Amino acid sequence: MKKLLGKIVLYSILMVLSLEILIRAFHLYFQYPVVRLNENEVVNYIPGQEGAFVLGNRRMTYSRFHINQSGFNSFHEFEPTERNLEVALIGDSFIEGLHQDYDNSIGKKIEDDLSGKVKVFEYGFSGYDLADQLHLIHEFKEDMALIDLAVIYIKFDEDVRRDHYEVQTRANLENSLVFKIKREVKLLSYLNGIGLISPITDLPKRIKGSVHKNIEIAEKDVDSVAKDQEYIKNLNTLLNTYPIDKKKSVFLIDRSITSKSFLDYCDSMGYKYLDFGNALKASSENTVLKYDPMKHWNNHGRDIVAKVIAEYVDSSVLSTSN
Amino acid sequence: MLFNSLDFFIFLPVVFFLFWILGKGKSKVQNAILFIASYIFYGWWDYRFLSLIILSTLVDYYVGRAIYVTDDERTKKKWLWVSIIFNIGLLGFFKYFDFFVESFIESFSFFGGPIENVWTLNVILPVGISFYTFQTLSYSLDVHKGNLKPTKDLLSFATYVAFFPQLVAGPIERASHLLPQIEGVKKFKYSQSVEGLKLMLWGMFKKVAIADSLALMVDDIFTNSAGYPSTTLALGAIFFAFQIYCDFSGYSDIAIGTSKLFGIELMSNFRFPYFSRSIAEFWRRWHISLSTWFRDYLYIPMGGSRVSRPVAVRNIFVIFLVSGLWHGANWTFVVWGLYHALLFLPLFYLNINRNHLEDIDLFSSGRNFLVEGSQVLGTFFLVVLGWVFFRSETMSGALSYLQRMLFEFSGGEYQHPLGYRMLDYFVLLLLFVLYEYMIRKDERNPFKFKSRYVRFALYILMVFLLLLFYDDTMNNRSFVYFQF
Repeated sequence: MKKLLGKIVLYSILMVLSLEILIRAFHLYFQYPVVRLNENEVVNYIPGQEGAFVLGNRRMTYSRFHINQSGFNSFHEFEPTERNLEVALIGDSFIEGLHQDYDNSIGKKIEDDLSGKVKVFEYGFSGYDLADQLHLIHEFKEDMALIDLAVIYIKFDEDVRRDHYEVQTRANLENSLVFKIKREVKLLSYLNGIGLISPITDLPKRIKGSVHKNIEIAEKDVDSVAKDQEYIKNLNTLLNTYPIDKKKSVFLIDRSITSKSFLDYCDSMGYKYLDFGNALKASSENTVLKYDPMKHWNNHGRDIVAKVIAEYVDSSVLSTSN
Repeated sequence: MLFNSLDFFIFLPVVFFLFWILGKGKSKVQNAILFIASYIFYGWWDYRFLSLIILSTLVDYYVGRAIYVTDDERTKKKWLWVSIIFNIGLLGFFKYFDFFVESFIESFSFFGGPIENVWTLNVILPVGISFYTFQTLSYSLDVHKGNLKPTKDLLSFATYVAFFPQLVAGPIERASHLLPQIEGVKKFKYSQSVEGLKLMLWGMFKKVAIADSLALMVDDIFTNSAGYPSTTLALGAIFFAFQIYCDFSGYSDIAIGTSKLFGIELMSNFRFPYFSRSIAEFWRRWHISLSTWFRDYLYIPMGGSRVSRPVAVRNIFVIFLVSGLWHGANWTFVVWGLYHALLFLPLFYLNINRNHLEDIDLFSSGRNFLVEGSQVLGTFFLVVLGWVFFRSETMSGALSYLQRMLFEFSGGEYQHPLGYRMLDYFVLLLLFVLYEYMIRKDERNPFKFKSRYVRFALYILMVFLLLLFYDDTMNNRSFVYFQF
């Protein structure tokens, strides 16, 4: 028995080491830029990082990222000026675009669509909600004052669940020892990425969950009208705390999944919104990454969204500046 | 509980250590641990159906004793019928009741007016019922034939019936093979445990890397067959052939491997069936525990082949039809059995059904490569056609699939439903077939290479491929044979 256990331990260690080497050699691991909390209390990435973002067991998505000096994944340094026309794209992972090559981003596509007449700065960060975005605009107000249009990507059902900004704990978490180990041990990072770690970490929750199953079911059954009212209240509070320039800002939304309450609120308060949902739906080609659980836009999807924004910029910014 | 789940990954080491630490040298304790573990293993799925296992255990335990203590042949027979009626009745009620009622109503409607169906019960099919009822039934049949002395130890018998590694999907063990092992003191053997772990790794690789990764495409092609060209339908049928083989033989390997960890040997269930050179050889290599069960308890008692030709032909049809029906309450399984009977019959008539008893060796001469290679491909083609009936939900679906696949040629590239690269799967299957050919002489030792470095490299390769093809959307996907 001792011999068996000894061999199991020895073989396990050798196996782990071998797999670590293989995963590094084939670059199968899920590299993620390191997060920081900057001097403005905005959570974004440590500047200057370069690497590859990988999705899927067999590297189904492989894209290069480049973190600029402002801490965002972009092909530009963010240096807005009085004389140029500049657009800020603000949003979550859809705008951040780690799943695409940084020089093939939505911003780059918009610039190409408009033949380089505008510069696009992408302030995207995974997990940002409206509170994060408005706080970011507020903290970068000097830059924003020089920018001609801010396009704020928002998913109403997900992004207005709170009415105030709080510093995300993610920055602290990701610099903790556990996260450092997770990041440095590529096998762990890989196993986590393909979904083999979560059943283990979720085990206590699963055991607890079987006890509290009934409560959870009851919680899910919520009145959507009440939720809408709560979200509108949050939206209103946030916009009062961090006012935005209504003339220079537009919410980028998929109208087909956005509550009418939001549209009514915007109409009554004079906020502008831009729908890209119809254009995506009209496409006969697939518009999302197939192996991505978050269903981020693929190259074709990004082309469409960029075109929608470019047309809006053309009609609202370029035409007025001429 | 599924072998490919985290639950089992925790459960097995716990049972293993309890078994060898608390039960060292004590058969009763060992059996008590295995018995409790087996009931937990089964109850994890649905504890209510443990009552059926308990009933089946008690009935056959007492029937075995009753048959043994009497000398009167008629009384022995009566007791045997009690076991047959109980076990087949249990199976019939849970598995076939609705099927027979619906078939009766359909045929009645065909000849006369429609009648309202008020008799179907829509009961849940208890997992593994076809396996454990056959296992307990074999005990009573063996005792009746005088091949086995019934056990006096109810705990051993209950452990034999519910032994968790093979409870829900076999191999269907014979009491004469398994019960003495359970009754005796199990001794820890290092080499046996290592063999067990290797078999488990091999089985897990087949299940997770191959069967589960093909399942998504097979489901897609069979569900949307009307919209796919014939080349894709052929691909779907071939993929299903590998899916079901890797799923079921993978389960059997894990079961045999797990059993070895407790010092118990189970019978082999698969011996590389896709290298068969005829349908007869295929049936000597596919689901061996079931085909030998039918051979010993149905075919031979009916006279087997040592009867007149017409009766022998009837016996062959009966055995294949029953085997088809055993797999599920659907006409597609019956036709699958009938199809194999029709393929087997010419071999029987030409008296060549006992050919190819030795393992294949394609490269021993040029002739072998051409002749035996084409025989293997031909047999595989026939088996794949049969799998279309097996996989289809309805007879009309199977026929339309076959018609489009065979007679309406059209080509087109198939795209994986999740957009994955198809080449990966073709390379994986090619490597798998080549590897199976290399190890074809010993199904119980998939890593039989002299060099320990080669063996270790293979372990790493298996785990690496397992990770590369693991799909968390298939997380804890059940084994195909659970439904039977």
